[in-house]
Amino acid sequence: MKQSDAELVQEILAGNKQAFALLVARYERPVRAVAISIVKSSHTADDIAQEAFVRSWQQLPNLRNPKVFGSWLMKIARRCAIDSLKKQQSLKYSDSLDQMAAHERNGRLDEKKQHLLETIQKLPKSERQVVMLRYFGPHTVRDLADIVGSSVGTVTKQLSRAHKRLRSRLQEIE
Amino acid sequence: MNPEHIEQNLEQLADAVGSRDSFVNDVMNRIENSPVQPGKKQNRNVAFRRILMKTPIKFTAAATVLIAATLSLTLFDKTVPSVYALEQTVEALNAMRSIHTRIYYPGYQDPVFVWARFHKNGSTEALRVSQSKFAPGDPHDGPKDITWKNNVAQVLLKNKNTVVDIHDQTEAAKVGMLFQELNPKLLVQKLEQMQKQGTAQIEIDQPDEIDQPIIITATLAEENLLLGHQAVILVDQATKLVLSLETLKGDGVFDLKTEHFGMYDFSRIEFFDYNQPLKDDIFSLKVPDDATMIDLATNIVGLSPGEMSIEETAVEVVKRFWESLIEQDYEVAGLMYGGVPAEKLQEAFGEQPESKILKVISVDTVKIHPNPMFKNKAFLVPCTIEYLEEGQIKQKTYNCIVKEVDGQPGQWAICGGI
Repeated sequence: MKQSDAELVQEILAGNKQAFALLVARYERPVRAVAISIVKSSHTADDIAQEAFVRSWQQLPNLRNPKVFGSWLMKIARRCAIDSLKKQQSLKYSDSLDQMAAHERNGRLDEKKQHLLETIQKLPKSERQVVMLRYFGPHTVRDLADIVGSSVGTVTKQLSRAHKRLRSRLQEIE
Repeated sequence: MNPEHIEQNLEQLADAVGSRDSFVNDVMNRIENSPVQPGKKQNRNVAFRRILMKTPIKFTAAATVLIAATLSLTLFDKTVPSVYALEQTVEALNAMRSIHTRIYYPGYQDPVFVWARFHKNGSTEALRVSQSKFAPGDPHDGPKDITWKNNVAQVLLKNKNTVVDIHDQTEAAKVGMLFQELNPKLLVQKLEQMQKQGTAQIEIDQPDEIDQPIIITATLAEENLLLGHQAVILVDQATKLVLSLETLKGDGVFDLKTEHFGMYDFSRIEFFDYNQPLKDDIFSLKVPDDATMIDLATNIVGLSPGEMSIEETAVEVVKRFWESLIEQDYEVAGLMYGGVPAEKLQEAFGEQPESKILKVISVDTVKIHPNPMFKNKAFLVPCTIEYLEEGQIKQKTYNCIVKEVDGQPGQWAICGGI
């Protein structure tokens, strides 16, 4: 049985740093995905993801409800990505445009994937979290239920609603 | 990308997002060197005192330094925002006397503009709503201006050059209520109440930077017409006033957006110009001289069910509307169509001999209008008619909307869809 986010947060606050490594491994891809959805570059996303984890580590004592660690971390990731975007925009004036363009091209997802990623970000919070953990991490539905502290039935329902919503939003675009 | 294979698409996306073998190690190395380490929350003054007393200085000297340090820490703490609670916004909004609001819906070209003035006790004194361009294919009445004051509402339908007067106090109050709920104070009070009742889970994210807004995320146990199932409110840290409200709606049972029923799964409301003076004329409509006036206080419109069910009444209203047009009885047709004056219908349907309604081909099964704002008191009546246009016989299918007439309970008439 997987330890829930809340249990890991409590262990970290009690001084077990290795528990944080488990959270980093669990949320690496979801955090990267949030970053890519905003900055649209996987190169920059790596730095943003690291920064988001460091900030979450530093601010962990301020997290009032450890159960919401996942969504709280995503908010931090969003903030880091937006900060990075602002920095990039001011840097654009000093960088060579060719260099910037080449860099951006290499790290970009294709248009359809980028669109799917942005659509995921617009899902209701609970659905977004289970989708990101299910597909961006090696977690079974049972694991997900343990991680988010819900029943398997609730998680299954959330996943199925998320699929339906994503399908219908993608059909609108197709 | 095939939307039907959503799971496969998500797996491919996850591969594309990728991960890095040394990522966890890199993060752990960074936090190892981080000057801030989590643990039980410490009182910074106490921690500082502990460090100070470890140094080899005399107690008196330490005391002097301590006073200075405590003073500087206290001063420093004053620049850090105080812990935010919803009641601070309610208190800040007690002084609200006027506001300008913009509502954004996906697919609409322009926002809906709302201006509101409030009494000292917080109740709404006057409202002005202005809806300009709508998305193509929208079945609404097109651009319109609405004013509401002293429980009287007036609606100017710009494309139809028609003014609807709603003097009935109960009905006018309903029009007012639609927009009064946009009052940011009522919104925050509602959230506070729901939190107390346990029907909303509220998270508050207060950034350390005073120039960054406070983010309130409310997840509702049950979907609410105004707040949806999730609402995100941004609050200005300095003034504690609400800056914006974003809501997510929809339960996936039907797609309101695709069906164009006027409800959207996402909306954004922005609040501006708190307490900026608003001129009186903003709350009065400028009615064009040639506008058609519909006074719902004096004309009894539509049909009452009598022996029929409400669904049968809805069908009958639609049939009678088209049949009256075929018979060129514009008075009756107008009454079936929400009280539109006969001359208006004659102008639209009867002045070109080569263009006229020939027959009703079918009136299909009635459906309850899915827009929750109608609260099951409106129906969609699909019907197909045959008409003559420039000498050619054509067919067209309409989805007539039949609802209970505002201010005339028990009377049912067409209100849109044609």
